[in-house]
Amino acid sequence: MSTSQKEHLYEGTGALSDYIQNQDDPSWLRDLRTAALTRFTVEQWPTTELEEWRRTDLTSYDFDRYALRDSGSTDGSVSLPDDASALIRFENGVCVGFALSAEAESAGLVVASLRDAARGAYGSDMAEIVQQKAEPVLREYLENADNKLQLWNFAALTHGTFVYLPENTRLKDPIYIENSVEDDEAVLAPYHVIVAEHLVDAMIVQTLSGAEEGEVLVNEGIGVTIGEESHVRFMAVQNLNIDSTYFCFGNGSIQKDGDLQHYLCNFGGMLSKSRFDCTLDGPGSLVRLNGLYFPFQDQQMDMRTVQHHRAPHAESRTYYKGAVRDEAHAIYQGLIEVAPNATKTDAYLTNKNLVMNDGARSDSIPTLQINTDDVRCSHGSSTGKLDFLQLHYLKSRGYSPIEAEETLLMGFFEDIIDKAPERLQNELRDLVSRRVYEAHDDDE
Amino acid sequence: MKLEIKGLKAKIEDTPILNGIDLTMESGQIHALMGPNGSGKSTLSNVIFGHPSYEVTGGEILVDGENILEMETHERARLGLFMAFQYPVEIPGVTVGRFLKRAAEIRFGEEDFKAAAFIKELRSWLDFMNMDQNFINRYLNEGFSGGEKKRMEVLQMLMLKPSFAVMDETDSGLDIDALRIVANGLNELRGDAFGAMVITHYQRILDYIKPDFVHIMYKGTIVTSGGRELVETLEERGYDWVRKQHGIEEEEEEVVHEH
Ligand SMILES: Nc1ncnc2c1ncn2[C@@H]1O[C@H](COP(=O)(O)OP(=O)(O)OP(=O)(O)O)[C@@H](O)[C@H]1O
Ligand SMILES: [Mg+2]
Repeated sequence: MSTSQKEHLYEGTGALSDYIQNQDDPSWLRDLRTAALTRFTVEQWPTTELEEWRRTDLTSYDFDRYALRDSGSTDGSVSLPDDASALIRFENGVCVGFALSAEAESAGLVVASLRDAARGAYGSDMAEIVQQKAEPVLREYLENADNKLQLWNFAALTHGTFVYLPENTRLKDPIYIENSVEDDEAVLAPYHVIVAEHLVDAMIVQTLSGAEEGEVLVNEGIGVTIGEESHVRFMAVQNLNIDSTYFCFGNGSIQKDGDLQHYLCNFGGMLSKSRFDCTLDGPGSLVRLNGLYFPFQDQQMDMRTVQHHRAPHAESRTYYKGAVRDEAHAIYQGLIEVAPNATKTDAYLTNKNLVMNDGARSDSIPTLQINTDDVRCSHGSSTGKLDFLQLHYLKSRGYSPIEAEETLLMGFFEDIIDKAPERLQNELRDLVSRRVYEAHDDDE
Repeated sequence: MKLEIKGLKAKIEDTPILNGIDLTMESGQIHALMGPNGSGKSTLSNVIFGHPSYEVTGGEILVDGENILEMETHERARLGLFMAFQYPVEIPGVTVGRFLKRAAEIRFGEEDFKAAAFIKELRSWLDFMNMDQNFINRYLNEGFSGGEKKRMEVLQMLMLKPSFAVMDETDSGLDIDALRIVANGLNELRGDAFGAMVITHYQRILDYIKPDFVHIMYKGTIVTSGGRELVETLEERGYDWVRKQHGIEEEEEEVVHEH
């Protein structure tokens, strides 16, 4: 990171207006951001009186403590790993480069820095595609934004990704979006737009990681649209350090016979609050929302999913699994909402929690709002401890108590982890494993 | 390995189950342990392995002279003890291959562990046990039939080559072919470096295994021990015969108390 990028453009949330004016965004984007800012100024931060925020209290949070840095512009380059269709990397909100495989490029895939592409850094054709494809997604996101954090994300918009998958794009390997943060008392406000046209088949892996030291606040937005008969798997891994704060609001919309699988693998942040809200807009569409979380020490993770059925014959599944240890607190809220016209809806949500010790907590709050007959909707949740008979079995084969614990946790998370590409599988296992051993180191 | 059980007493919750067990077993020997349902056979095996549900209230268990009751379960396993469970648990999400690889690493040392040789050996024992190769990638015991779980216990024993194994009713719930395979498995390991205590209700498996010693447990004590002929007597006369012998002892004890 160069020193010029370290300069504070301004301190805190009060000077957003000047900040927006100083950015070289195209007018459509500036207008959207200004509209977000107007609402941001009058909106209050969410309070615990709202059901969604009941367990995550922001009243004592000093948002002005975090400075917005100059996000800078694209330079440098990245080399594409063999097992990737595309890779884009951001460091401290600066796009350090992106690369596409020859195959992906010839299929017409676009993976680029959202703001650079929008202002024409990659030519006017690209700028036009961004406006044509990303603007509607951003506009809708903004219209549906129901809290000040989302508006803040949009007004502050430090960086983001634009992924465009034209009709018939079928990618063998994943698209990687890598975000790393190494800063202190800084805020990052990324927004990722993913637009898949019809008949697309692709996987996107998004990682967010931070340096071990330094308090950052990442306030992220995600907008995904899935065209007819398209299959997209989107895996997000959040691994900021545990002094940081993470907010994430994602929206997905799925057209006829399309299929979106979303995975949230949540590890970092002293406080994190996320929501993934999916709308099944087309008949026969399918959504699967999966979650893996493992807070420890005094982390608090508050996660919400929404399965929003607006078309008949659609199917949705939520499957969130977590382990909590030490003094950590996990909150999972899941909503299935079925519109009057969404007949033959088949929706289910499952939340499983392992509470590793007294003092760790997990709350599970499923809600069904069904406004039509002729649906199959239900939910199930379970909260328990590691099974002592399973632990004993492993120990009887020579596994030490901590290895036995690690093995059972790995087994618990396996049906989520095994959906990831191989490289990520190893990373996720490593994260789970480190959390088991770190917690034990602290005991000693 | 020499396993000495001396005056062992144990309870579960507040119920005493083992009332003073004395038994000495060694590598190179195969012992059969028989006894009616509820007599404490599984309790004895579980206590040897430090199962958390049981509390030892007296006596000791020595492995080559060292009291293992102070050791944790995994430390006992690392001495070379192995238990084939009567009811093996299911471990979802953990494949047989991954699970056994780690167990083998622990048993034989990480330095000497060779992944290729391990897989090769695992494959050949699977064939030996008449089990499909795809068991390697299945989650441990999840969805296995009763008989498959038992075979999996024997497969693990073959891979880990314990110095002494406790097999708790491994023959129960097996069809006749599987029974022969399980017996063959044990006979494969048989030799100076391997010993076992085979808990069973049936003569059938003992016909294949031909134990060196037979013990009969009744209400938490070993009431009689002998050679293979004991199995035949038991098969002919049933536990009534044991009960009568044992019952007399009990009455005598009571008479002594009254004086
Ligand atoms: N959790 C428990 N609470 C109370 N009693 C128990 C418990 N577990 C076992 N027991 C009792 O301990 C006694 C011995 O049980 P154990 O399983 O050792 O018998 P066993 O000889 O292995 O019988 P089987 O031949 O049926 O396997 C039985 O009477 C049983 O009911
Ligand atoms: Mg038993």
